[in-house]
Order: sequence, then structure tokens, then C-alpha cells
Amino acid sequence: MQACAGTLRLNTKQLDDASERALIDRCRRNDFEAFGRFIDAYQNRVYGFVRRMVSSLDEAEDITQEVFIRAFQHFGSFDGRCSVKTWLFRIANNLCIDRARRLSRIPAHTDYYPSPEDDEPIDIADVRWQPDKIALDDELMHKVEEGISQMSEKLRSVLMLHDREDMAYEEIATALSIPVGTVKSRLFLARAHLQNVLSEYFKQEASRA
Amino acid sequence: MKKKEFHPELDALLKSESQQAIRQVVKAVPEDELSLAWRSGLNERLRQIRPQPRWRTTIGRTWKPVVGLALAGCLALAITFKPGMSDAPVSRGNLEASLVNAYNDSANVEDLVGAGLSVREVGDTTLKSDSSSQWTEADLSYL
Repeated sequence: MQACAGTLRLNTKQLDDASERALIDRCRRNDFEAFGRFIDAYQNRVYGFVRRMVSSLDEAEDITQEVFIRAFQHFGSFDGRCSVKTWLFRIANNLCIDRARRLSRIPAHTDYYPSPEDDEPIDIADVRWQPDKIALDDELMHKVEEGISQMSEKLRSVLMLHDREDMAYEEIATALSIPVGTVKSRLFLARAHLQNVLSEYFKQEASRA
Repeated sequence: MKKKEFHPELDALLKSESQQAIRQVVKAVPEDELSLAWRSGLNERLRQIRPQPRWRTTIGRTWKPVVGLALAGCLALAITFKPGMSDAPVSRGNLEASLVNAYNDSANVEDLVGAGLSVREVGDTTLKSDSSSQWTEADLSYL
């Protein structure tokens, strides 16, 4: 395992389909070095998802390790019917739900129903509000994270998988074992919630100025 | 993979400008980095659960008992034929010899002068009798 101890940094975007398939085949045969490359490719992405699904960073790190351990133990049973990314995030999501149930820390579902005006474009005169070339400053980033953490885990998981991980609705539906229509409605609600939070923030900023 | 489902109204809402703007915001949140310590910990855990290669398992199953029995046999042989394990103990050493000599001396003295005197005392007595005598060689010639 020494060979795969973090020396080779790969991004999944750099792995084309053929090389990813080859890597997965090797992982299925319990190839330790290949699994190290697999971890390199996905560790930060899985951690980014898990970190927003649980309450503490330590817990998030533990669960992320557990995700890869489960993946290593069960790679042989990965049948390839869904993408390896979908499979991995499914493991991550299940572990987060298990942990939350065990610790009885499931946040109450925020029954958030957007008002009709929620979906109107944000019209706040703030120079930082440039979605097309966004460079979030610390304060705005903090607000975004806060908005995400206020959501129920059901909305949060869909938002993260779609908008962070660029997963298709169908992939998310497979990963979370929910219908595609539910994925879409949860995504809409999650974005509307975040929009509301940011809208409030920009209003406060504008009144301060 | 789930079958494609169409939800025209929802799809239209999700493609709206404000929803897409939020998508960009979420996408722009910086990526989280994990530490090398975390990775080392994971490597260690994976090493513990890593399945052993088949040849190593076979060797372990077959040869471990054989090696164990061989070692036990060697140990038994070594204990049985350990050098210096004769039936009669051989007495050696200066201490024992000096004790025997002392006993012989005291036995001889006892034969000569009776019990209660040591060899030294007997020796001293002999010397004293020689030196305390007032007779000389000349006196003896007169006799």
C-alpha cells in the first residue's frame, strides 16, 4: 500500500472511460495499488459530500474512511449496473444516514415550501452577486455553507450530488433509492431555500451599506 | 439506472435563471481537502483488512504445523541428549579437595595425640619441645 499512499494525485476528470474501467477491473481483483488510485480520485469529493451531511469534521473524516473500507471490501460485488461514482456516493449516503440514526441526530425535516416570489431572480445590488464568474469571499461562502446546513438532509444530499458532483437525476435517484421526480422536487426546494438565505443576506448587506 | 422520467413543469423550474444561479454558487464552494494523516490512517486500516495472497495462506495452513512439530522434536532431542547429564555426579573442585584433606589431617592428629588438638597445635608442641629443652650437644656427650 506504500505505493499508493498519496503520491499519485488523480482527478476523475482526468480518467477517461477506458482507463476508469481498467482501474475498476483491477480494484475488483483486490489490486491494492489500483484501489489507492481510486481513493486519490474520489477522496475529496466523497469527503465534501459527507462533511455536509454530518455535524462534525472528525465524524466526517471517520465516515469517509469507512466509505472506502466498505468499497474495498465489496468491490467484488460491484456489478457495474450503475457508475462507480453512483455506487460510492450511495455507500456514503447510507453510512451518513446510519450514523445519524444511531446518534439520533437526524435534523427535523424543514418543510420548506417556497412562496411564489422565491423563484424570482435575485435583484440585489451587490457587486459580489455575479453567478457567472463567482469567486466567493469568506463571508459569502460561510453564508452558503450555513444555508446548506440548515436544510434537511434529504434536500442537502440531492443538492450536493447534483450541483457539486454533477450527477444526473437518474444517477441520484439510484444512489438515494428515490424516484427521479422526488430528486427534481427536492433539488428545486433545496435551491429555493438557499436562494432565500442568500437573498436575506444580501438584503442585510444592502441595508448596512 | 432508473428509466428517464419527464416532469416538464419541474424541469422548467429547475432551468430557471435563479435556480441556475444557485447552482453556480454551490459549484463555486471550494473543494475540501483531506490531510495526509487521514490518508495514512486509511492505508493502515486497509492493510489490516487486506486479504492475504492465496500462496501465503496455503503456506500458512500447511507449513506452520509442520514447522511447529519440527521445533518441538528438536527441543525434545536436545533435552534428552543434553551433555553433562551422566548418572553419577563427578566431584570436582578445590573446596571439596581441601575439605577431604582437612578431614584426613584431623584424623591423623587424633590418632597421634587424641581428640581436641589441631594439626597446628601438634606442630607447635613439637617445635616448643625442641626449643625449650636446656640440653645441648655437649651435655649429651657427657652422658
